[in-house]
Amino acid sequence: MCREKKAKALLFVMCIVIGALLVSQFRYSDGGKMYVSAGAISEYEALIASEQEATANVKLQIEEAEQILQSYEENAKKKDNEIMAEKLRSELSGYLTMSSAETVHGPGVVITVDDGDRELIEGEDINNLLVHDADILMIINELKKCKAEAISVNGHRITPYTSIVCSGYTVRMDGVTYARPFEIAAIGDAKRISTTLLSSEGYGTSLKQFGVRFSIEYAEDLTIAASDSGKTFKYAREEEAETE
Amino acid sequence: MKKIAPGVVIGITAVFIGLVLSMQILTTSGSDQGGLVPLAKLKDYEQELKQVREEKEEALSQLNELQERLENIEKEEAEDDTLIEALVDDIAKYKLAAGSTDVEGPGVVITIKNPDNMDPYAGNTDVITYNYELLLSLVNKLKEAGAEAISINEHRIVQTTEISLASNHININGNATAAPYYVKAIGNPSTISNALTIRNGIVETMRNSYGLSVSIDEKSDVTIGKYSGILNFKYAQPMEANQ
Repeated sequence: MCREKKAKALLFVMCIVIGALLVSQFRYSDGGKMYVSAGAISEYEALIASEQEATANVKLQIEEAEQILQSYEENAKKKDNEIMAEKLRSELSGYLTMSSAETVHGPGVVITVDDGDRELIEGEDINNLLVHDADILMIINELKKCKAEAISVNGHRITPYTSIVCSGYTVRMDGVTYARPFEIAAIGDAKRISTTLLSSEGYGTSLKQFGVRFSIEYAEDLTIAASDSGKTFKYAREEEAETE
Repeated sequence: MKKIAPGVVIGITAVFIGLVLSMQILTTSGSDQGGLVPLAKLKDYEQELKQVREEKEEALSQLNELQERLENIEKEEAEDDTLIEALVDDIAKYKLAAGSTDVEGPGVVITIKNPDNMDPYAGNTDVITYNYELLLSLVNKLKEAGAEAISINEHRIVQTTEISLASNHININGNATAAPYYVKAIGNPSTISNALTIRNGIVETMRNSYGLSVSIDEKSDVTIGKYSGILNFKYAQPMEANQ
């Protein structure tokens, strides 16, 4: 009799231990409470690295600006403005290219995209074979990712303000309508562009797999004309200099 | 009812305790919990991020100050040198269109947040990152609606801006970004918000097909910072230089 009582007491204690262990197990394994996914950490690492890179970039610009400032001060005494003119010219040239206001030339690629002409598989959507505005948008985005410096579609310069909109069978850019085939010219690193677009994961490869025609040709010297649709600013104005 | 020997019951219970204990040890041992990391570690990263951001802000304000001084010297010089004057005027004209000035004006602020009531175990919850083409399409729609300046999480959208997926985050102007996304645009506020909210339009798609929470605030004054990258073109040469 006494033995059975002891056994019961032992069982009772063991059950309590199991209960406590289970509770702590549940608490620990609830990922939201004690742990976060490794993805969140790599997200932070990427953000930190990019901020550090940006800071390094700004510091380089500070150094450059300090040098220019010094040369300005030296030249002020000599009444020589050539250095200032040179600095302003190169600054202006950057803004001109950045706003598509100037015709530029250089090496690059010409990409031709056209609707596919293969037979449709029974029940297949014809849209699989057609070029859409989203496709052109994605190709342009890929080009920018590869640091293309000037881009045009069917001779129309892609400015910072150009939108690309599908309207029925045509594509409209800055109010002008264009139809297939689409010829996208880009000045930049031709090799980088073609390897990116034609890699196994590349956008060109996936278009080809759908049956859309896609080809890239290298060009030694492309000319991309300035935009003729000058942007007028009705709403945006330069921020007033702070009065502090 | 046949009585089970107490020894057997205790034996089974002991085995069970052993099992739970070993599970417990498995989940808490080592630093890498099968892809999980302690929350405390994340706090360190948060702190570090805050610190590097402050450093960047500091450097940026120093740079702005320097550039202002340079500009002042140039403007002064422009008063008695017509060549410098012409250059300074041209720069002022194209700087705005290039996205290299801070601008303000009426517009909208669009907030895009990942769905928040999703099952945390249902694979990836970062919907917007893995569907970054939604942001690309949104920017395209903003341009179509006549936006004159656009930024995403303070990164100015300029001619060379890419929006691309890099492993597990979106890169904009080469900078890593993360949700929530705040898209600012200067332009006619009601034109922009009406263009975005048409039936079956981009906002409806984001909400209904992707479960993102999207809100559009029309504002009478939005400030958008300038592009902070360096304008340095390696391939494109101006035509005039050759003639």
